[in-house]
Amino acid sequence: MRGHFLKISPGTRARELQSDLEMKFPDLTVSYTGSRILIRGAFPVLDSGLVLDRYQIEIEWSDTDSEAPLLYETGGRIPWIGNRHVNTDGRACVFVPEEWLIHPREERTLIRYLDGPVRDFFLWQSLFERGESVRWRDRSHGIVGLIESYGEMIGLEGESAIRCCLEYLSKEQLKGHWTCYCGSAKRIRNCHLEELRALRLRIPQHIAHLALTRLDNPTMR
Amino acid sequence: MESQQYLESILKAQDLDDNSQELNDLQTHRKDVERLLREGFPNSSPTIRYGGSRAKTTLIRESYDLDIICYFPCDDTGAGTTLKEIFENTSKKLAENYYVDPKTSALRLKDKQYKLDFHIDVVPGRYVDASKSDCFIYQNGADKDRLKTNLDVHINHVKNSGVVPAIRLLKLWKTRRGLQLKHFVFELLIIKLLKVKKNSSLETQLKHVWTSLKDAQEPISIEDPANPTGNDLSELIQSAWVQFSDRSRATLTLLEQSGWEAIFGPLEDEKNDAGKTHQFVRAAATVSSPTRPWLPKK
Repeated sequence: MRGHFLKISPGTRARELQSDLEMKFPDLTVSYTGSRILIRGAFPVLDSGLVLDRYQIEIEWSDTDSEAPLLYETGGRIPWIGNRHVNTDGRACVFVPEEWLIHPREERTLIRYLDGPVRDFFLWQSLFERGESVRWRDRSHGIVGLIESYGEMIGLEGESAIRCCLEYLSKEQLKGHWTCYCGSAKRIRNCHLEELRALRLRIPQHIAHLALTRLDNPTMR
Repeated sequence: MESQQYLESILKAQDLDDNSQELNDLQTHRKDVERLLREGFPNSSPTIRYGGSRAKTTLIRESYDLDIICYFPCDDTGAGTTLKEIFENTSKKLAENYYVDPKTSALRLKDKQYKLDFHIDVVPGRYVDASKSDCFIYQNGADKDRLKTNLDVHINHVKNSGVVPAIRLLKLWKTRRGLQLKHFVFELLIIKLLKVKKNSSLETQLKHVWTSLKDAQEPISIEDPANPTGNDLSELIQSAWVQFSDRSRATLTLLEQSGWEAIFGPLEDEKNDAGKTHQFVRAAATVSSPTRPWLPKK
């Protein structure tokens, strides 16, 4: 199964995605140009079967392990402004991409993306428009927000510890003589080696690598 | 509820009242656009008026773009001697107050700072002759760099088609499904398909359009009434055809299985604003592990 999506043609994949949408999101249309798969239409913000709101959207879908889907609000309703989490190129910043990419590929379905991050994002926007404070806080912008996110993912605080831990997670093999990421100055074999081993099971090497790259270049896709 | 009654209620919900905030905002911008252009070209006397869905009465709330045409007299060079110059100079004048996003023949106006879409397209052009009837408009980035058109012919063709309610509902269908075809081309297609169904119910008309789109082996050819021989719409229809055909098939299946509400959604209840806000708050309260929005740049 792994890699299935990457082996089939964009046309076949677009048809698969369209069929996934039929029951719950019949308004959305999947198309493709070249290798790009696009999903367009009116996204309904649903609650118990009721449509609370609708947003015109475009999604550039991605099945890869290195790129999260891109979301655009195309109805011109949300200003392209930092405190609404829309980039200057119109891209909606629904999450720190690694929060999505960390899930196994079979869990990264279009329906889950729409029901989760996309719905949360637009619910957040609708409440913001109405002057309501949203129950969940948005992340800080830029690197500070990345550190918040990666810190939650790893279960650590402090930028240097998080960076160091990500560095170790991005390596092919663990070495016991490394200095522990926690800042104790001990060798890791005498400190947090078991915790690091457990983290490797949860955070794949490529995600740690992506996170480190994003810390150097937050605007990358 | 009967289908006809349901579809009429959906249409009513898509009306934009004359006193609505959206329309007031659009009218304010229209005045500003007219002032900018008249002051920007003091030696010219362009015709500035509504075109598009507002003039054709096919406007829907969910996609309420306002077209403002700005046609210069045939012997007027105040905004430029060529159509390209008119297009570019009009864009420059509008850019004093707006972020201008140039489309094929229109200039889309957005908020200068935040790119908020004002849903306004300004269409510059030049009349062909002194009768101020036919007009040439510039085709930015297209194979043919100009197109002959006639606003009144278009408006009358649609307004007098006898199928405006069906056009509005199908525009809503097209908008919600994110289907990519210019509205005016889609309107012409609907009018052609419904020529034989003018007196039918809305339900019959909609089903007829979807069935025709589903069944046609080849893209249906249509003519631009304002320029039957000079404006070839076949390429536009061709590129959109497969998708329209597929989505029509899916719509008919959904209609058969689940009824009209599955196509256009439930009717909005008349909840007041506070009631709606309460619904949003309640929905947010049920999100167990929300994803938190982030922004790459500080």
